[in-house]
Amino acid sequence: MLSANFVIFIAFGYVCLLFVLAYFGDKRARDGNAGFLRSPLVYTLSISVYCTSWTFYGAVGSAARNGLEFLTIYMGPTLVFVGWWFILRKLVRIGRTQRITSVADLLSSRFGKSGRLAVLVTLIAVIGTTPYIALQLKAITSSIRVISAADVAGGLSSFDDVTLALGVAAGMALFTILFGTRNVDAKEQHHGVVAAIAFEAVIKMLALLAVGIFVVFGVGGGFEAIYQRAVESGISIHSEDTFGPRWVATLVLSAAAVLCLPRQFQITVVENSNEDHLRTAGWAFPAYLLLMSVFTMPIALYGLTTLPNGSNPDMFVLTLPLATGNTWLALFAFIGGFSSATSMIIVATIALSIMVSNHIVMPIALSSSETLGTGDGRGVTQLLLNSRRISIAFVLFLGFLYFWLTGNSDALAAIGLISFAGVAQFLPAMIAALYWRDATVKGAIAATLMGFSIWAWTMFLPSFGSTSPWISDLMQHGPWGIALLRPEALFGLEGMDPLVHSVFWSLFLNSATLILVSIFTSQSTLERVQATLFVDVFRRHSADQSNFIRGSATVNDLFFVAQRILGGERTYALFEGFARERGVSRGNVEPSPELIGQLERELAGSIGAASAHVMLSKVVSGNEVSLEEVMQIADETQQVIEYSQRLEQTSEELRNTAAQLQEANEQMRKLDQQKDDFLSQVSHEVRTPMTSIRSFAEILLEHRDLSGDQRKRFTSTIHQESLRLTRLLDEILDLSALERGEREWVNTPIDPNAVIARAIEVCEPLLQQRNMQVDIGPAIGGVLVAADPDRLAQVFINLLSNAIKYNDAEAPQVKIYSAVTGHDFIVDIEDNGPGIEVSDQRRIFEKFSRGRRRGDRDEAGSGLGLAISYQIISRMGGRLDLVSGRGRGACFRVSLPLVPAEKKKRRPRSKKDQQGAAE
Amino acid sequence: MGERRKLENAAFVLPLFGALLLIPPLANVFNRDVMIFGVPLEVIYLFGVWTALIGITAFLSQRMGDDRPPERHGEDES
Repeated sequence: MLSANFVIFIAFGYVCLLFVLAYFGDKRARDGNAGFLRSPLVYTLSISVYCTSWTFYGAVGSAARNGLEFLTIYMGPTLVFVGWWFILRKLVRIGRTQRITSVADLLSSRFGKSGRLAVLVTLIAVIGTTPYIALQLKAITSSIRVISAADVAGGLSSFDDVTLALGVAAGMALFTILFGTRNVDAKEQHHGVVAAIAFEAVIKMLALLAVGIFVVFGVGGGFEAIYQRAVESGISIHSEDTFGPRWVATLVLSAAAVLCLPRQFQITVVENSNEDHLRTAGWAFPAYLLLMSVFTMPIALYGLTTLPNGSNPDMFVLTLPLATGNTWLALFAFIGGFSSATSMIIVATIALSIMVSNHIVMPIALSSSETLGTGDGRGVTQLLLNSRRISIAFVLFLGFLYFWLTGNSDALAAIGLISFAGVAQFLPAMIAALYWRDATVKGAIAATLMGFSIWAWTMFLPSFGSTSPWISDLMQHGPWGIALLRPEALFGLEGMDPLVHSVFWSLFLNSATLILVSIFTSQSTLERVQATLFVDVFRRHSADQSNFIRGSATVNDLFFVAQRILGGERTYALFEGFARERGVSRGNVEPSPELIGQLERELAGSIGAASAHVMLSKVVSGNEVSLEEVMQIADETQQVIEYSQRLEQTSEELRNTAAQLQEANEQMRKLDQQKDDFLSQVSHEVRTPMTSIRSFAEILLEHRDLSGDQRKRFTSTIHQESLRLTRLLDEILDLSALERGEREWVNTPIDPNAVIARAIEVCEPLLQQRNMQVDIGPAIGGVLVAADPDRLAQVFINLLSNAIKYNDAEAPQVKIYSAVTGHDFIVDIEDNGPGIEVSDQRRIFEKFSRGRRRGDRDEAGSGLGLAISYQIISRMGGRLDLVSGRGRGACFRVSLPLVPAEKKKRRPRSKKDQQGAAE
Repeated sequence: MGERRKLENAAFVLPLFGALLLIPPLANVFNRDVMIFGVPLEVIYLFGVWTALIGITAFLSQRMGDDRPPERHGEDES
């Protein structure tokens, strides 16, 4: 049997052991010999501060009451750590680059170093952690009572639970003050404490495993036997609704809590000495949690089946070994439970005290005392330390108060969940801080406040329901009798589990507020800068971004300020290092923005971003405009980028222009070539008739004895040749005038069939000469095209005469078909002559291009007819093509746009229109 | 590089899949009144998923390389 005095003595001895561990841990770290203390193993073990006495005692109680639900408390964190690469890694990276000291500092720093947000988060954290600390006190007092219950004569029975809890709280406050606030560290890392916490993690795991193995394999006879016995004694081990809304809610809560709980943030982010440790913690911490929960269910079942009815299931871990007479195992279990409670209390109060001193005490001190920044060196440090000591005592006292007020009724797990739901209200803002660039400080404050209010109303308040008749009345009827506002049936949402109800409303309204307010408000410059630093933390490798204050401080001023917070040695090293980097002596360091920026970050590591910003702004009688300058620098960078992009664009344009010029040049040369060709062709064409005219004229001049007949023949030849020459010159003039658009004519709606008939009529003599027939297809009546009748006739005559003249077939024939397709009137003129060689088809419409013809010389045309026709038809908005006909001969197709019938009377198209159509 | 991206993708979906396996529609598949080795099926299932998550994370974490710039050693003397 253990006497109460002995148990208390053991607990005291255990705390002393912790003290020694912490002391040597600190000493080794200070000597630069941290080695093992900074291993991934110690880091992982210290994270398991997550497992408090709630895990140690409460999980068994929870398993006895609610079955498997207790597992969610460990599976939520498992999921977060399994996904360490995404959230935790980013948190840790930001924590290290921005010197984040707490969860309040994280949110405040991200949202423009907002002091108000920091205060809000700190207050919520304190209120949210209070039930949790009460839970530890309750566990410790209950466990002391249970283990020493047998000792009737012990001194303990004269104390009640409240006194015992007060004693424990006072003891824990003393230890934490002694250890947590020994110095104001530059990075707020407590190696000694972490070492002690890691040790406690090992102790509590060993203790729980020892009890588990003892119960399952020592007395229980294995897992199967325990479940068997539970089934036999009528305990339901299977529940249809295990995986219900409550399951999901607690899973979400625990995942949120492992990120947002101040003590988890402290250990995981602030105390992290190497980002790489997450690599190990990512799987090792879930493994630790797994080991801690393997035996929970069997212990609960075994306790329920063997212990007398009415035993407190929260204490099965202690009462089972005691009931079987294993006193020493019970003592070990007690130490395990004690260590899990103490580690939580120590880390939680340290984390909260840092938040309170940095975000509440410091800003008040800074704004109320003008001399603080400039007084003697000890002032600020002393203030920080004292405020931390007082806040540790205060937080523990609050925990005690809650314990006292809520009485003894609540199960451990229920209290823990209240705490989880409270700090989970940071989650939306935290996720936004990491991933949503446009979240604003107003949104974050409104959201956190909203979530907190809902939580306080629907969960925190009801937890006092059992002790306060006023509150229980409120819960029944709502405030002022408004049923819609009843805490556990908000807005009439009744019939839900109170936990699910509260978690749903608080997180839903919290996130909705964050999103809506952020959308409708805008960010300040500092917020924008900080948002980029946070969201893009993996894109930047330099941390020298946040030097926002610039001003007229001397180096000495800065040195003194820094010394007050960081201490002489560290400040000296900092300035020395800065001077070395710049390659100047210590005396010549300039109070440059870089120096101030670096100082601000260092200070932020001790007193939080918001306070550091305020403090330096005070000392540096600065022009606050430098913020704008920062943005300007960013803008300039942006401008340089834009400028170079524009340059690139311009040079691309230049390249294009050069290419176009080259093309144009090429075309010019081609045109020039064409002009030369044209000239030489014209000369050639003119030369032939000129030669014959000249030679016949010479004959007439020299031979006077010519007969009248001869003379007459020669003269007529000269006449014919000169006619030919005139015709040629006329055509050349006509063509060039057409090409230059000088020939003006007016297109009027006309009947093309009449024009075709006229053309055939003109060609009648030629046809008779060749003894040919024109085969005209069925005429299409009632169509009109916009054209000049004479010009169109010219085209048809040209095409017809070509078809007649160059047709060398035995039975020469010309066919004319007309048709209407779509909006065009089409005339095909086809002959059965030799056709046009494929090689000639391409250039048939060019000037002077004659197909290889077999007609005699007289009949050879100028080679301009088709070119002129082509121009004319184009000017009428139509097309002249060489198409493949039905037979071997050539087939030319004239297509002209139809004039719609109702527009017959319309004014003739102007010249401009026609040109547009011709293009 | 491709290997690394694949690992990162795997690391991203792992917690999501883990969460899906642990919440109602899927978890209910295993919530039956059946005993395996004398232990309820849902208990075996939950611990199985849990163990698998731990194992896969350990594997991925070791395979995934370091993406950080070299550590500055100035910070270690506090």
